[in-house]
Amino acid sequence: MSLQAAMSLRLGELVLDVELDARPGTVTAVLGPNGAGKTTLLRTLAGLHAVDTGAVTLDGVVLDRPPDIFVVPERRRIGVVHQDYLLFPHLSVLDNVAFGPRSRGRSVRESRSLATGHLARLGIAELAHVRPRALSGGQAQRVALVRALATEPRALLLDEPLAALDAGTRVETRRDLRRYLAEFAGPTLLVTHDPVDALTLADRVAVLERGRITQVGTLAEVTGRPRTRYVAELIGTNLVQGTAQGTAIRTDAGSWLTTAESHIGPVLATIAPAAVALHRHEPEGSPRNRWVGTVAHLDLLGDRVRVQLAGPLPLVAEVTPSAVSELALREGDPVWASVKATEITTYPA
Amino acid sequence: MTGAAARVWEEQRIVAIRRRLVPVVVLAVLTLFGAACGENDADTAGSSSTGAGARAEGPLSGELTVAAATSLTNAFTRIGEEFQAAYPGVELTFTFDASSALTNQLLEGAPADVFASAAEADLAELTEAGLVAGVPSVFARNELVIVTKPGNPEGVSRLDDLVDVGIVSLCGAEVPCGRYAQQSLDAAGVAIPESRVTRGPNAGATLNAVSQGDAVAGVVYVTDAAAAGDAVDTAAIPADRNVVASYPIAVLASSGAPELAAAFVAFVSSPVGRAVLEELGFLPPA
Amino acid sequence: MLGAAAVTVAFFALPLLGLLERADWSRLWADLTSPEALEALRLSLVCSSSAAALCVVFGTPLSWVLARTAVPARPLIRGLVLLPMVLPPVVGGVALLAAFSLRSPLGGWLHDTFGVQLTFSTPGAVMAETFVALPFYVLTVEGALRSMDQRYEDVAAVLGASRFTVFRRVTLPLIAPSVVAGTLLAWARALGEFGATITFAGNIAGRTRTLPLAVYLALESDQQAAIALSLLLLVIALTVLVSLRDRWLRPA
Repeated sequence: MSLQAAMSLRLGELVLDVELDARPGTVTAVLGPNGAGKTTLLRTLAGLHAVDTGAVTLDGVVLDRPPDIFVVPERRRIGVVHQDYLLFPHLSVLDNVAFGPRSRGRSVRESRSLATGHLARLGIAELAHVRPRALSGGQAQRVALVRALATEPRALLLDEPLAALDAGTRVETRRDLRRYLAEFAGPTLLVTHDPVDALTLADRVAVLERGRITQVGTLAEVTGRPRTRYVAELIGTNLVQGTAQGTAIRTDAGSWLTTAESHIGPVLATIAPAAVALHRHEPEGSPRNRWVGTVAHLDLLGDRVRVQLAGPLPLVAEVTPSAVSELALREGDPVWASVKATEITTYPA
Repeated sequence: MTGAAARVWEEQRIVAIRRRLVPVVVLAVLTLFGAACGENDADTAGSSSTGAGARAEGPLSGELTVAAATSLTNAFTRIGEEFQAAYPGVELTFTFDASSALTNQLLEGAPADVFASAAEADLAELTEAGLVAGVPSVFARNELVIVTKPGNPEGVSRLDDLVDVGIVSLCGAEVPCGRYAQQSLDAAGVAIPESRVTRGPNAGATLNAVSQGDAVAGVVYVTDAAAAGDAVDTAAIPADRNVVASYPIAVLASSGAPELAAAFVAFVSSPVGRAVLEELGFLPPA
Repeated sequence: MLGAAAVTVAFFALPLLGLLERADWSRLWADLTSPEALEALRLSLVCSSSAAALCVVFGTPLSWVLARTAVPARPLIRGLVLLPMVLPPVVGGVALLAAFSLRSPLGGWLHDTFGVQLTFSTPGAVMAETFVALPFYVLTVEGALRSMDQRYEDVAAVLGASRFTVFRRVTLPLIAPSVVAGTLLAWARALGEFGATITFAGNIAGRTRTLPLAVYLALESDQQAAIALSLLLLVIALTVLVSLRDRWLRPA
């Protein structure tokens, strides 16, 4: 009993090729950069696009399987909450929420009383007769969620539900959203590009990049062993791809790294930026990995400076501002970098 | 025939709009938007020469503008061809419309050298206004006739029959052909309820309502009926009830080429002009 | 820029002023309240309102199809529907005659089977007006359908609404201002219709002699009456267009 998709479709430039299994009572975050196809994925699951090949099933019922099965959106019983909520501007909050039950055959009176109940449960009964344009972002988000839930959906799809909110409202709304999602029995898919959403709201994370799922797992699994540059950058670490021969890795760019762990074959390695040390002259002593790079870019980040290195190992180093002035680092300068073997985490690719 | 008739209709209307309805049309542009888009898109219609004055080169060359009743369209077009064959240096332009409409246009200052009307009253009005040079002369006469659909399915043969057939097409009550038709009907003691009368703005449009539209019968000039050929059948109106329209012609006082204008007027009454008029069904002047 | 705009405004305003200047104000009221004028006004209002209603009834589904579906001959259909905008209305009238006169197969059949004659009838005048007014409605509504945020329709579908419910409860309310604007434009166009009406429906007092036809006829006989009627038409149409501008053509 879950929302499953194993499908591909082409929509203009985008080719979506996805395998996904969202289980009941869990929240799966679909994390990915802009243009990766996250919204298209949701629209496809909701029935607003048809798949080219493969299938979408919900609770074992096939919703879309070319060439013979396609369940239209109005019959899918999937709730969707959009990033900009898309509350009907010409209807009151109450009628927005009552729209689903009404469209599914209930009487006006019944639909409205259902809607009133739903609004009360989310503590926004007083908004019933307000027009959407008078709502704050947080309120609108809640109404959109209630509207989706009022149809008693079997699955819930949330498209960047917090993205349009300002930072202050976001924290509070996220907390509430978490509570509501915990009560929802069906599978929830939460599209976001904010890892904090994934961290606070989701049980599992699926990373979607350029139309493909590149990594699935718990957030800890995914961030612990990033498989793509996108994830690595998301958690602020360096990712190196290469081939291991024991404790030596030949990176795809042609450099060598010495690691503490031993592997054979294609591996991924992460190096925390703070673990990359910078020097004016060739460092002496223990670091096994040392090389000369060029300062490509300097970025002040709070009380740290991120130094993007160019050269055989294009890593990011994180140092203190005083270290930058001590080393007199300027963009374009050559600089020595070193990483201890024990600071490199390796795992099979 | 259909296309030609429609075009004549359109041109008449267009000329009317251009000459006299300009303010109204522009008004329509302002208020009615597309209405005017359709109706004044007629810049292709021949515009009469505004510099109607004769050129200095010779006595019988230059530009000449003739305003003439719609019922003269075919006759004058052919007479015009003959005239231009005789005087190759002349550039001749016609403006055809209902005589009453042309009269109004001329009163408004429309430039023309010659006016040939289907009603003596119109020229009298212009003479009174001092717009006519000399005395108008009658060059042709015309009679009314009943026109019906080909084969005359409703069996209309007399004015009396018009009382209880379907829609009857008459010229507007103030247009000469409409006035004459009314006189003729009055003479016959026939009163057609106005609710069954469609009023054409001129003789051509009135005929079209029968030949193109669903009007059962109409009363138009003999010459119009003749020009329509097979598109209509005719039933004669007895002489005692018929109205004979006299067609006067005159040179206009505002003409910049009075000699040329006088030459055209003379040409219309010449044997060549007479022959054309007669061939098209006009009666000679009394 | 401002100067050019002023010239343009003058171009539109001067003829109007000319008309006002020519009007004989002492007999204006008498001209406007003559039985003929009132009859023409009544008929004009009946015909143009009926035509506007027909535009809504027939134009709305058509606009939806043009805006939302991928019918193969869409450009051709749109061209066909918009044609009356650029055609001389007289041509439209001739075309209507060809299709619906008693001698045409369809018109003949209608007459023989149902005893219906469209030519020279008030319904015929309404038809002629609808013919020329419909493009204004379709153009306005199709544009609104294209420019509205269609995701609202998606949301409604996902909430369980059938296509028709989506249209009725979401699409139509969202484009309501344009539906009103299109209706008023069509109405104003129908009110001023002349060429197609006189060609197809004739010029029969009380039946097909609408204000523009009355104006044309009056010009032959009584210019003051024509000017009075023109002013009446002008005031009505201007009122509608000005209210349209203020209330409905404003971006939401």
